Amino acid sequence: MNDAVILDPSLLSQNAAVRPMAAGPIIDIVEMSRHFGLLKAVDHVSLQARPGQIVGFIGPNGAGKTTTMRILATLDLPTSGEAFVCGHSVVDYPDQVRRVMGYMPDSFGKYPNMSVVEYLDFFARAYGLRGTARRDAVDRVLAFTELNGLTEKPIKTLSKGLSQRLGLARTLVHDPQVLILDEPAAGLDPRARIELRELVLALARELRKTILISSHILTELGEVCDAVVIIEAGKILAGGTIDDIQKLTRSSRLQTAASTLIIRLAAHSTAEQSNRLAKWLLEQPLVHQIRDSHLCVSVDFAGDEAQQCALLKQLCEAGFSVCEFFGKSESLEEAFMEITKGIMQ
Amino acid sequence: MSGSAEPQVVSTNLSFWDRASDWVNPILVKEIRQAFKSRIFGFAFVLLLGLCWVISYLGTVSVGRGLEFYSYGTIFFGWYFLVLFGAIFVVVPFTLYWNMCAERMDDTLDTLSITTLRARRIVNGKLAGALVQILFYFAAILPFIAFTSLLNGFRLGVALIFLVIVFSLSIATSTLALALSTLTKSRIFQGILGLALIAGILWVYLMSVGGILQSGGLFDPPDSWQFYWPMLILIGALWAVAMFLREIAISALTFESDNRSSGIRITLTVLFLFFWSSLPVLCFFVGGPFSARDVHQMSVAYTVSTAIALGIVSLFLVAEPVELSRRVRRQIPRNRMLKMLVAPWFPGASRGYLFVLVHVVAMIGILLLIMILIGPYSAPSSSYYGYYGGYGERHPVVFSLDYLVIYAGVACLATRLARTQFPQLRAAELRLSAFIIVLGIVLAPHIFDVLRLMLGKWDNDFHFWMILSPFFYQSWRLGIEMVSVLTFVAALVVVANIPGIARDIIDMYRPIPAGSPKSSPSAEAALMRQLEVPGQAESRRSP
Repeated sequence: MNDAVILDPSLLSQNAAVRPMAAGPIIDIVEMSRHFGLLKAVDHVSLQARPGQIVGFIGPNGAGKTTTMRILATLDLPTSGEAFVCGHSVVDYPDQVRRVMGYMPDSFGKYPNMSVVEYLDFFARAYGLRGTARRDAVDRVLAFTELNGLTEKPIKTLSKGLSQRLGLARTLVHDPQVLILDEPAAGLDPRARIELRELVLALARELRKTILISSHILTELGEVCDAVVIIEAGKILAGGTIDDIQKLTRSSRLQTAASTLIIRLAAHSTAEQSNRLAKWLLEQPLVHQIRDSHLCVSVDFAGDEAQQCALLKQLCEAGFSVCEFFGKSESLEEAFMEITKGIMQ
Repeated sequence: MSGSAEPQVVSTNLSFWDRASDWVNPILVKEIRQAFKSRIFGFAFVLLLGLCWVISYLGTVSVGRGLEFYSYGTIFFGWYFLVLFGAIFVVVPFTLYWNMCAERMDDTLDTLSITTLRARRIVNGKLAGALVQILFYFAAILPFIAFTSLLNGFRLGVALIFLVIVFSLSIATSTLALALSTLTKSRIFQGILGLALIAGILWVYLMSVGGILQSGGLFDPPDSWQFYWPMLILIGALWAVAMFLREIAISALTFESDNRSSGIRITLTVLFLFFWSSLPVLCFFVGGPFSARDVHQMSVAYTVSTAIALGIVSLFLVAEPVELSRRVRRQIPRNRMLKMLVAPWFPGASRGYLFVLVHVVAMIGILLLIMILIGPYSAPSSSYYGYYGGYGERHPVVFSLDYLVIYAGVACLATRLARTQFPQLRAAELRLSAFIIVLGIVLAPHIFDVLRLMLGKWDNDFHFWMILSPFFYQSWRLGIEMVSVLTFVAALVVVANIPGIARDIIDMYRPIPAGSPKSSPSAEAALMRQLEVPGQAESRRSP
């Protein structure tokens, strides 16, 4: 992110501080299912999100993410179960839900011959904003998404990144409490992705917007989400904070295999010493497998913390110049791969 | 991105138009902005102006001083009329069609649907946009019409009637285009429908041009009721069609779980009341501009056309799902008596049939009222089929109503049965099936009749299979026997439908099912709950 980037959430919502926040969950999905004929696109899904929380929704293609999001956005109906947004049932009170919810689909329709400001002005009108309230809303989202230099630019000339920012601006124009973002970073270059991530973080941290976000770029989700839900074949396989997910996969791995240790030798060590280390490690009883990469060795070690300490002590006693020794934490991607089975519906 | 963004980017003082447009449908504002940027509108507008200038110049030059002495007013008006007709009858509906198709294909309609705009406002906004374009074309041609009014032979009343007709026709065609564009999201079908639409529009336009050019006296008709009355009916019919098609478009854009049906039913009832209430009123003018025979002829025409219209619509209504969704149930009035009274205007198969029956009863009531007011009409023995006389030999009115009650009732029973036997059938499939099956039953005897003719075995006698279609004159000749059989069958069909109607009315009294109670554990607790889901410990990777 560029140093010059200063997000000013106050531009977006002047009343966020005084808005009474519900104590209960803002998004509440209760045993919700959606069937298309015999296909169970969503199967008894339950999840909740509280004010200011960013919940990542991850799963392979066809897992049921978009269907769930479309139901929350009132574009579809559950076959059974319920979903509430800010306490309003998406089944019974779609109009109330639409007032408090902003939905950004993965590919959203744009009017190519409209200018940026005309587009936002139109949606502000569509949400019932009038007069100066409408103008102020447009100004605020333009400033927040930093599209203010491009107000008269035709939409068809915008880059993918700017289009996504315009989509986010459109989603925010009526100052919703809940944002549902379906693959917002898809197709963006790294810079645009980082900028979008900063915007999402600002919305949740400063304005206490509740955000349900899906993405295929799991490292990005890991950086912004307070919690993630992993869904596959319409069913939720795991959910919780990222730590919880990592703990879960780590504990499951401990039952069946080893945890991973990274051992790095000092820079002055030779290749011979590195080979000797690898050979030495393979002689140790709790080491299952090693992956050697120059001065760095990754070890599958089936011991607990005390045994890890003992291993380190033995390494030093054996004369290896160890400069790094740590247990490798599970990444969200690895956890995802471990939890999902790649089921195609 | 830079942090030095000033909040006041666009804001200046709001202009008068900005403030005024706040009270206008947002879709209309968008449509006008887009229309002014579109090449088609600009091209058509300039072409219209250019053609009018050419007509004025060439006409004036070729006629010369004759303008002062001969009746060229109607001729000039005719040419301007054709230019205007082309712009508002061909260009506006066709651009509206593709505009709405683009909304569906580009997913902008989904984006609109999650705003506070509902389907009705979207459709109204689109139509208002078309209306504004039409008015622009009218404004462009107005100076030329004003020029024509200075010429001999120009009749303001006639010109106004023709301008109102072409305006109404353009609105009706635009609404048709809009309704067609909402029917499918498939690009292929949209393309086929678009081609069919433009072919139809061009055909009507070219036929009209040919007709206008051939009939020299079209714009100089006799100044009598014989001219004005049919024109008024035509205008009324065009607006009725437009209103009905508008409801179809709204229904198509409404979510399936919302109320897609009541709008159509209410509109049909309003149109029904509008047209049918004119009949008793006309009875008071019998002896003046109208004769009793005129009123009877009109009542027959009304009955037959209403029966056909209701018959087609009923095939869709009776194929609706029996169950009311939670969203629809919230619209049911709380008053117990009112619930029963409004039942025919709520979605549902048997409620759809009840809707048809209510209108049949209303038609019979109005026809009886006319008979009381002006007496029964006895058709002369030489008259052609099309009159009903007391309970004499010809009964197209009773025929029409009997066939309506029978076919709608049978379709209702069949679709209810199909729903229970084939629950996987979707509503649209069921609707289409009902329509095709009934159409097949009506057309089959005619196909058989044509085959008889081709095989040289045709005769002029009545055969029992002819009873399947309401369009065999051999059946009509049977008179009272045929009426008796049909009325008996209609009564049987109504009786067979009574249990379904009763069930659908009772269903109106069922309480609204409550949503699942909201659970209150914290988000974290709820999310952690998910950790207990089995199966997650299995790893795909080897250690």
